Amino acid sequence: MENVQSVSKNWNQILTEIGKQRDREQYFDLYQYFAPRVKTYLTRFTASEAQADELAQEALLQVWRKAEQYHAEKAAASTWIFCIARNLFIDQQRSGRGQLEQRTDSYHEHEQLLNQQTQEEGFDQGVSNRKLHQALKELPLMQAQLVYKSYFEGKSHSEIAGDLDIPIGSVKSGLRLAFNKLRAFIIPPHGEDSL
Amino acid sequence: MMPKHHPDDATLMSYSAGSLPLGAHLLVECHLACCEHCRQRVTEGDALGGALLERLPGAGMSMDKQAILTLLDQIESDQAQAGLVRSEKQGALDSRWSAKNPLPFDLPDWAEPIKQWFHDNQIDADSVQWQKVAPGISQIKLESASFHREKAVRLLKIAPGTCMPTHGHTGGELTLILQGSYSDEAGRFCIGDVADLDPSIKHQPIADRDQDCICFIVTDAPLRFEGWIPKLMQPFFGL
Repeated sequence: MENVQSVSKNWNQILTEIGKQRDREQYFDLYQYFAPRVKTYLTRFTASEAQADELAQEALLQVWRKAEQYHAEKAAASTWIFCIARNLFIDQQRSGRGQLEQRTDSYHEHEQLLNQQTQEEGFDQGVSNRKLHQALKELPLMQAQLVYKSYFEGKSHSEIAGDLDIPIGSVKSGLRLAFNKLRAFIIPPHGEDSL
Repeated sequence: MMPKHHPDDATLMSYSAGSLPLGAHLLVECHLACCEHCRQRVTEGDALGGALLERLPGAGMSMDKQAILTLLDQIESDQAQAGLVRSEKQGALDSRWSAKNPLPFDLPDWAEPIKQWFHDNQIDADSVQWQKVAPGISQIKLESASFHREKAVRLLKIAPGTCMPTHGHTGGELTLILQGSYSDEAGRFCIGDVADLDPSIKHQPIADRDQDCICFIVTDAPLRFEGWIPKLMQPFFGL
């Protein structure tokens, strides 16, 4: 347990410290971990790689600007950063600047990437909530696909229904089932270390 | 006030994911402002988003360390300079939120995002009027290019006791009550409540008798009315 703790960075603590001490080196560590992931996330919603890069850059700079407002007892650092990136992308859409790419089904291609990474890097040791990650891996294929399409393809229920050629009601009930399973593993961030 | 009817968990999850079309996003945003239960759900959906973010493989960033550190320095000095005018700016922001309500009825406090939408789209009181669509029913359409993923985003005013035609839906429909109440097969929907309807559900809402019922309605795909008279109404609804 000690060992695992030392391998995984406690991003919640690091982000809290960045807010207090404005330490650039600490920020750069966090940047190196999150910026590339935020970029992958945003790539799904932007027209070009350059735009995703720019938006991810902007999101991470907001992290620096707003770090003082971060409270570890309210949300995990990953959650907080996810919300910043998502809100940025919604603002873009609202102002008409954003171009939502209607992507075709990229789940399978992506799933492979996810698994590869999991095997190669002993991935789960670096994440902040291992039980939730385990639960995500254990979702039935259809539910995983629905979650994926919601979070990473930005698709609405009816758009997903069209993609998968299933009724909207099935999309909603599948998402509900997945959410109910995963919710059990979403715990207040300050409780995570004791797992 | 404690809403009794909530958006489906799947809808709240999509809100967290940022994947709701913008009309539905706006509607849920209002409901969240008055519903602790759903705020909690969205917090969980956000946490799921954070966990999923960590599972993503990284993509190479274009900037090197030096460039980033330089940017941070820039931000720090900008913020130090801006510190003096920040309180002023905050005042301007507050007044923006208390901007005049352009709508011809009183909006509850938690429905500020709707007022904000009219403000952001520079639509003022002069150009906002109830439009009759059927006896006892009028609407105000919210039109914007950013609503292109939805069939219709509108406010609907139903006179007391008016009975809507029975209809099903080919897509989803979200309804948020802003004033008054209505009843249908699923129960009584009061201020702050959300009806989150699947296409499989047919319903016949009747506005309660005491006052106008005003709803914010977002429709994903054309409504499907039953019977020939309601079908004739379809063009009037503009659905």
